[in-house]
Amino acid sequence: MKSNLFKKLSPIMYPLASIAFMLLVWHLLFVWVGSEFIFPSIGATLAKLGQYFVSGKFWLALLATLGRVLLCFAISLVLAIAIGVLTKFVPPVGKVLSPIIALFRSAPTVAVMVILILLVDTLFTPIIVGLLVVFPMLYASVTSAIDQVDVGTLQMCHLYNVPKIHQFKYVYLPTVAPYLLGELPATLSFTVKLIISAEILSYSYQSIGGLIQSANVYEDMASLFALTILSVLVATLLDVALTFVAKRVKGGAR
Amino acid sequence: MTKVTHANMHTSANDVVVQNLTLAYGQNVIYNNFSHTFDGGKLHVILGKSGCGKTSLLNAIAGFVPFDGNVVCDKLSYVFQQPRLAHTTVFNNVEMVLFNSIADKALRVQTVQKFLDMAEVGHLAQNFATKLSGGEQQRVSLARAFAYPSQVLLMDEPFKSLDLGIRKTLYKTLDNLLAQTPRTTILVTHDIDEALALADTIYILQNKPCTLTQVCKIDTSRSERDLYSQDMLSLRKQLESLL
Repeated sequence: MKSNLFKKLSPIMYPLASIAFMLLVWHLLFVWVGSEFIFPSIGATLAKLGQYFVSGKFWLALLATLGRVLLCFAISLVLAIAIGVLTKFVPPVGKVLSPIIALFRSAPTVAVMVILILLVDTLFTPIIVGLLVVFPMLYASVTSAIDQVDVGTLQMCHLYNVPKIHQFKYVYLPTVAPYLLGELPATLSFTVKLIISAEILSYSYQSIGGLIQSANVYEDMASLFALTILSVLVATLLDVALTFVAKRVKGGAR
Repeated sequence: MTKVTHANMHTSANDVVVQNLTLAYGQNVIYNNFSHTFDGGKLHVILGKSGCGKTSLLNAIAGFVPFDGNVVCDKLSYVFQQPRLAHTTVFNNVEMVLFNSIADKALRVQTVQKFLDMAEVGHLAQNFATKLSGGEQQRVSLARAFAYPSQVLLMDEPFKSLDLGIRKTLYKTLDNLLAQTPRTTILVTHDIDEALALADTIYILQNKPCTLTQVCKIDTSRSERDLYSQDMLSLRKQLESLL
């Protein structure tokens, strides 16, 4: 009986214990620092969170940030799939792209942001930065997923003259989709963090990053903490939602 | 220089002609100026030990490996050792090889179902192909090979990983399929019983570089063959001594 109840509760118990531990550490740090201005209390941060939830300005900022995240992620994904598949069927394209992607990967993100802030409207800077970082990640996932496709099955397709569109539908897609779907949730929550960082650095108007930047300017630590918690929540919710969708799609494919 | 010609005009009655085949993997020469003509419409079984070059010969005929020489044969199907099915339904696995040859959807569907029924997997049409048992997967592979409009069929130890009971039912299925849609078949195996059960002609592949020795032609039809008859038992002994 006891062990059954423990098993049922364990999926909730462990995360709750983890949250309780973090709150305890937070509270101890607050007591140790002893100043609401340097290290805010849990209560002050929750009060700030409450204020944000009833503020229209906050919801607009959240929507704008989410819009940027989803736009950046969607463009990166479509480009990664299109170019990844193209490089498989037209290998020279991959060879030409390879140094460009390597450049995107190795370029320091902050340096790229600084350059873009000078060149592009601050509304678009986070999206472009996101594209430059997320696209190479997704492109690498797509190409390595394509490499998982069984060579023997492709040989069979070649022998039997299976049209390319049907090779894509019946051979590539069933191999690539589960692999890629497994990678997407983590990449999406990374995109959230990246876009918010880019918003902070580029002083994007009407954004979570913009709110964090203004809290920083006014040294409003409670707001900084509240917005950080919100960012984590948004990233986690998107991760969970996409993991759920990915599981449904994978289940459907079977 | 690899040259595989798929054209009727070069062959008589669907023969498979291999001329001056030279094939090597690095320093390992598998075939050196190997030539042979496999008569059309017959089931040729090539017997040989594992690693003796049986699959290489089929892969050269199919154009999968680079070689020097010429191979002249008609359009071909291939039943692989592993069935090489796509991660989709049984029906889709067969239909995908027909898109280029049958444009009419209704006719295509009818053809797929006909060959699935002939291979005795018609009832599994909507099942996921890679979830089937080994024997069922190989039946789907046979249906695919026979549905494809080819004149030549290559078979690379297709029944190797299956148990004896399933193998025997598959021999019957292959015999039925060949009776209804005949084609020149080259089957490679290391299993003497399989050779005796299926072959019209049996060859032994041996030596390095490989040479092909014709051992015998079996005139008795497959359905009437008794593997325990005196003739068959003595042929079996002969094959065992050669391998």
